[in-house]
Amino acid sequence: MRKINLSRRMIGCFLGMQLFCFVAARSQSTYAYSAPSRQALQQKGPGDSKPGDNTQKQTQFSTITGKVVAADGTPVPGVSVTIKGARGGTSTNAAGAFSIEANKGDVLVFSYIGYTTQEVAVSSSTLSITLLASAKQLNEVVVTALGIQRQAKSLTYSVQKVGNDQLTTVQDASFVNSLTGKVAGIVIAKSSSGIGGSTRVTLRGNHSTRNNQPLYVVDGVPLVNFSPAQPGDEFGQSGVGYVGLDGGDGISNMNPDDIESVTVLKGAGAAALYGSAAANGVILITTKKGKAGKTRVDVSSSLTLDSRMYKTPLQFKYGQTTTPSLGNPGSLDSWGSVVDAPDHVDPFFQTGSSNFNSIAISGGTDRSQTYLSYSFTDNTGNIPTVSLNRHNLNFRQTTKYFDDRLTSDINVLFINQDAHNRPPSGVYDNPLTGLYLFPRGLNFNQYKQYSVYSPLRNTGIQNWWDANYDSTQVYGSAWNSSNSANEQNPYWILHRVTTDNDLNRVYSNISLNYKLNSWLNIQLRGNVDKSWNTITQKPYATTSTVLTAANGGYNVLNVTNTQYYSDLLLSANHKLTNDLGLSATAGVAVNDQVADQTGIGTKNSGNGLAFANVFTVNNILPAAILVTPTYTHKQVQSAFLTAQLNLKQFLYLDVSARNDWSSSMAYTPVVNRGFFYWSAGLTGVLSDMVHLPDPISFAKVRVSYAVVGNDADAYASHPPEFTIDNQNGLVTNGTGPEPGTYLKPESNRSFEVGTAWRFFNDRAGFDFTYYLNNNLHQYITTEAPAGAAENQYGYAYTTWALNAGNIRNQGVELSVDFTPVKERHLIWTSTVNYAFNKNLIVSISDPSVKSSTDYQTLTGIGNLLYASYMKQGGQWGDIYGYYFQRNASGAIVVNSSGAPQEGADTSANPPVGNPALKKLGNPMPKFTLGWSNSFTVNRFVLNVLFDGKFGGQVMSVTQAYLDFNGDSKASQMARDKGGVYVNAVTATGGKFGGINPQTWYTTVGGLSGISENYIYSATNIRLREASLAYQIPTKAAWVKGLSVSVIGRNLFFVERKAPFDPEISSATNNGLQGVDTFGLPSTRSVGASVKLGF
Amino acid sequence: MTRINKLLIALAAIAAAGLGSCTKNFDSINTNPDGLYPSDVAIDYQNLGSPLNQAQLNILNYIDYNYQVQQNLNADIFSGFMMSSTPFNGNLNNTNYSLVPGWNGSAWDLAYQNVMAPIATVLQATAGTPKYAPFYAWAKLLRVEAMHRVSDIYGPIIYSHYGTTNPDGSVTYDSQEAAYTEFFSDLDSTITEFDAAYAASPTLPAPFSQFDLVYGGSYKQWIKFANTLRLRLAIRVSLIDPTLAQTEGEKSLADANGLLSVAADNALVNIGSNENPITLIAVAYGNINMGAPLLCYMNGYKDPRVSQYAQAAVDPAVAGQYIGIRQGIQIDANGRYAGYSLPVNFPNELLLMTAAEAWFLKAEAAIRGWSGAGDAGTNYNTGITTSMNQYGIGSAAAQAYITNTTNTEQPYIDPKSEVAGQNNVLTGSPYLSTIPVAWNSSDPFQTMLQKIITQKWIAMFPEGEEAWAEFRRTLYPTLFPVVVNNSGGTISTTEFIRRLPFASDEYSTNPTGTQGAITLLGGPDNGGTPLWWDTNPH
Repeated sequence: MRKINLSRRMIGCFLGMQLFCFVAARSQSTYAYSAPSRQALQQKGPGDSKPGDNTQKQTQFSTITGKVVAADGTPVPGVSVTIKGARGGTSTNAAGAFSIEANKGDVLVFSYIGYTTQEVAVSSSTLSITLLASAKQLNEVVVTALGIQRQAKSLTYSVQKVGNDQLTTVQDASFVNSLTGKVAGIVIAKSSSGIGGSTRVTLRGNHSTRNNQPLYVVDGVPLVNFSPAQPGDEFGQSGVGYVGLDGGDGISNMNPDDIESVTVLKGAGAAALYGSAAANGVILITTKKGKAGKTRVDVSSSLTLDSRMYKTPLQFKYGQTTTPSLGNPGSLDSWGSVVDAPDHVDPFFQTGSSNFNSIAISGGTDRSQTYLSYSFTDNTGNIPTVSLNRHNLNFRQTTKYFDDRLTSDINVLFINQDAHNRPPSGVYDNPLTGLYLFPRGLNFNQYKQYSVYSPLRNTGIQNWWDANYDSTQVYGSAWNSSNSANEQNPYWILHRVTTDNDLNRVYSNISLNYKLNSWLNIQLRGNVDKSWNTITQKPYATTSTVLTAANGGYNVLNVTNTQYYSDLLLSANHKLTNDLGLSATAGVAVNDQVADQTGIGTKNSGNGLAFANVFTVNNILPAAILVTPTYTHKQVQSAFLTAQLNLKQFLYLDVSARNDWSSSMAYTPVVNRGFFYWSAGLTGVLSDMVHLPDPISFAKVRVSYAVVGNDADAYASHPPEFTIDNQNGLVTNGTGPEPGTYLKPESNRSFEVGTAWRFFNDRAGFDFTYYLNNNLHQYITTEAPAGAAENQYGYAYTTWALNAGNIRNQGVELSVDFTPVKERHLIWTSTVNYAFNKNLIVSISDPSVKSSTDYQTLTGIGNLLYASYMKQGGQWGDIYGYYFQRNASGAIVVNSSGAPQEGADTSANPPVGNPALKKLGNPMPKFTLGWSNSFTVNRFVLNVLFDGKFGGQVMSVTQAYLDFNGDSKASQMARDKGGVYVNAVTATGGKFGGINPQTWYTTVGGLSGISENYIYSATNIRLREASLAYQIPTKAAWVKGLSVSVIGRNLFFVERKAPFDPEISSATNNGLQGVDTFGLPSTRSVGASVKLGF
Repeated sequence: MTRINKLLIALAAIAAAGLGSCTKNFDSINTNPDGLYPSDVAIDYQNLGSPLNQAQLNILNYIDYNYQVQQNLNADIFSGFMMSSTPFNGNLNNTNYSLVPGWNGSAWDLAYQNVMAPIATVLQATAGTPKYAPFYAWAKLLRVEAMHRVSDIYGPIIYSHYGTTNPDGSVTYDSQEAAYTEFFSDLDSTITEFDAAYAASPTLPAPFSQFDLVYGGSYKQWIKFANTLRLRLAIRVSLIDPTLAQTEGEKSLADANGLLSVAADNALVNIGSNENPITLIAVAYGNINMGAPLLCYMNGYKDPRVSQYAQAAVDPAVAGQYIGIRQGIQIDANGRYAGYSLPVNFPNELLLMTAAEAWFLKAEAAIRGWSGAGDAGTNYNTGITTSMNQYGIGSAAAQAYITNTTNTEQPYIDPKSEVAGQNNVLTGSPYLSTIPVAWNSSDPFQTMLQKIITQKWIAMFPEGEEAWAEFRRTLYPTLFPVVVNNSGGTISTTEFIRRLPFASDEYSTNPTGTQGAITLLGGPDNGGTPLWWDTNPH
């Protein structure tokens, strides 16, 4: 009942706001697109006139008409036409024509997004203007916070823009993956779950103990990017029943063809206006709108074939250690004699395919434009049964009313996505474990029939080399009735432990913009984003008994995410004097987010289901049903102001201020005052201030500083006394704020300075940024001393939630572009993006907080190889694990049989409290480098993108497990050579050479071996994208464009040292970074695409 | 400014004001609907009873993976009851005295999180309110049952200072002696309260009956339990403080409502539909098997209970035998010992205390000459028959067992040891017991004590925590020492492990308190330092 009441109240509040305040206006960038005639303005009265208006000229007006076309001769509608030094102006119509009152000798200014602004002196009453596509930086307009458009040159912080063609030429099911290498300072890790899996994006390093991913904003409105489930450990467990699932993320649902451009705001300075959610940077997505003029239809289609980019190195030479005998299936490991078994792994994989189809219709009049698109994505994976389908429907309508003073913009999006058998990450219920570990010498093909009839159960049961559930009936002899959880029949998993992830999402946006006068407008925006996500898993009876009950299980996770967002903006854009301009936006916003999850699962012990293999909720036995609801609700209300003052359009001062009130601060003194943050920046366009030598066509310097707050997680400041365990009743909640303290907002402080230069008439240029970011008062949970101060409920929390610590990131970003060749028949442009980031955990404790530790756990060690801790003085994501015991000269200490010994820290205070663990590496790259080239030869365009990540270390649990069982190529080579030759000594100091491979690998390998042996350099360089497009010449008048392309993605590694793709990660949340546990190998995609416009 | 402009600005101002007023909903938004706040749980005394429900389920943790680190990978092995076939951590782990910090804080953490916290919230809610007195008393009783176990693992604990942070942020430990004083005092007040309540209305169940997972709200059963617990603790301190021991023990022996006496009195926590954690650890995980000493005793004594405790081995080398794994041996791989005897599949209940134990406690009280203890031999024999009875074994078989004067522990032969013969314990070894079963009232005191503890130990299975505590106090029964000792010299092979080190979290979160605790401990914080009541019979 409480939920309903609460949401009613919330809606009431929300409706109240709607009634009172949902009228808003939108800033129209630095340009007024259209305005009434000068005469009309003159009639408005003295209040709007400034001294200095040249009233004498009034009588000399005449009508100037003309047409604006692009370089290719097509008319450009919507071009702003103004008279230099005067207010007002007009814009071109659908045919590119305009008409304006001006004097001979006046200078007309023609400006339009994406084109170089042109100034033309009025010399006759008709003009013909050809606009040229704008050079980068000079007059480019970018979308910044809240959808405010700005000239790139005026920005006081670093942004990078990626256009539609860069995202859609070589498509990925999730467009975010296409940003790799194209933006300096972005680090993208894909989940190992293949197509449509979630993506972890970090900008300028990891800042936080909690969320490190940027905020996505679509057309000025924050986008919900929940990720419902992520694996939590190397087994792949992600909560009861939901084995190893990557639940996907919200951003991957978008249709890349609907995106006009993506702007990456990297620093907090760029993001200060978005509030707390933007502390990790913002990725702004501008979607396509209809364009006035003749209706245009764009159809595009692409098909790529996806294969493994690399193969996991395995051996098939040596056979099973103990071969089967009556009543004994033999051993899992393959340390036996030479059998030269066939490679059963390669044929298991298949060629996957990705098929994208989209159609978009765009058109309209001056007053009203429509954009309608539909796309269909169909993917099949490169292991059998894996598929992903997605339908996107997008409608957008922009209309002007009341003499063009009111503009409405309505956008409705519907997304339906079905992912079947998205591959899990981790050891459990993963087809790759059974596949890779299958004992060599047994006949794999016999298990393609994954199910055999059991007279005992009267149904099909798992058919696998070590599973003999129905022993007496089927095999006439007994062995284990349950096989291992760590390897099962891969086909059984694909057909009998199926997972489905079905998503429906509706996203709607309404924006009303009213132009109050030539310099002031008001905009109201409202947004509802609702998604329904259902993840189901159906393990059949005789799936490993460790994971599944005797009659099978049924696990359902229902997730409903709802966001209501609205804001009201008042924007002014005014020339204070001839030299001084001011643009400012003030506004209020409310963002209400609810994530409502209900997990219904089956215990993995007992019978689980009443009737075997009937997958309904009412079939789960009462004793076995596990219900885990999670309901998080947070509302943030904000008021903000941003202003930009410019002097002669060459010196810009930016300030912004924002105050947030967050519901998550309720029950703390912070709730009423909220939290305030601000930013300030200064940009000088040197090339406009002073005359620079000719080769320099543009130069600017910029500096900015920002403080961004961040609120707490919902309920953290007001934890309940008990939680309910549906099987066992009340459980005392163990985590809460330290009694006597309360949670405060985090504080993310960032400084950046940068400069951008362009040379030789825009043939070359660079943009350089240095940034320093300190994220203070992080939310931390720390073990409380047992029995410390009791809370309001009378007991002592075992874990305190508190603010402490500082994580620092500093680095540089450099983006260089140049055009080495610009001939009539050949244009070669090249861009290099470089970024270097250094992360330091300055502190993780706070002297004011009693008894806090100097480390925090991101992933605990359990009994496995991998752990990650944030340790004071270390770096975010540091990998810890077990290590070799070494003597003074660094040789590995082995015992008398050659088994390496594990090291132990004998000091009183081991780094992370465990003597067996030490820091082994960090998965984050030291620097990243992307190099893209575009060659245009007549009608051919060749694009090539190389992408490299340098430095960092990753761990392969896969390799450790394969080594342990004698299934790895390495174990074969050691056997071929007759021993493992490492620098090893015995405890007494004697040299030990040629260690028995089995002794060596069964000690260092496995899930509890010596982690250090499985650390690899993460450095990798690859040919990320290549495409060759051809514009087909056509004489048909109705065809506006026709091109075909050959495309490739992830083509090959120029360099790779790890046995897997280091870019792949087991999970995309904070845990499990830089570790591979039987993840699916990356795919190489090769195919073709066709684009047709008419 | 036109009129419409002014209007809009006014609306904006109202909106902003409206925003401010909307923060009043923040309190309800920031209240977790899936959690419970005190006002939600007062109905039906849920605020008092449910936390105590949680406490009962966590004295021994009902969840397999918690139980595994709370007790199974320490006391259940150190007591000789069980042994793991899994070479955790490259076979550097508790079983061979390479103590794993990640495991050894678990008993501590779980106790404070899942027992002390819920009990504290009940004590706060009930203190000084007469109608809640039964809840108050019951909470104290459960607290003693849970925390004496924690103290018996680590020594000093946080008990009387729970919920009180010192100005420097530390929390003060009680010495084990002080903690035991508190235990006795808590037990006194509970028994007084329950005795009176029972006398007033002998047929009415306690108001907490719906939350009682052990005795369904029977005052009388809880009084018997509390008396037996007091006797257990009294016997525990009988070597270090004989006067205190006798005083407290005789109180229990004199109480009109008596001790646990028949198998039906056994204190078993009903864990509902949860499977027994030991069974899951053994069967589903394959992480625990039977220990060598227990099965050597049972085989040697031809104990009819053996098939109720263990399953026959399936490994071809020992198939059909009841054979356990010796603690602290070399194990190269999981598979080597997986086929040795597993424990049987236990029912879905957790054994806290048996009536048989009460008889053995009385037997020891008798040989110590405490009044009200009765005859030692009778108590001893009743203890055995009560245990046999618990497993449905008829009196003939029990009598044959009781009267046998020749059977002794069977030697241990391990055919699968990595180094042949390395794990064997052969006839003549000082680690192979020669004590028979039959009681002989003319035996010297130590022999009588050895018989009592040995039989109590067998009857106590699978509750390893109490078994390990009594082994440390008396060094009975005779157990096999570890073959491989990886303690780095901190734990003596021949003197066995005496305790677990304090939780590593305590070092980081409560350094001052922990230093104080080490002072109270009176020795280094490692596995070799004996506890206060452990007078180290060596």
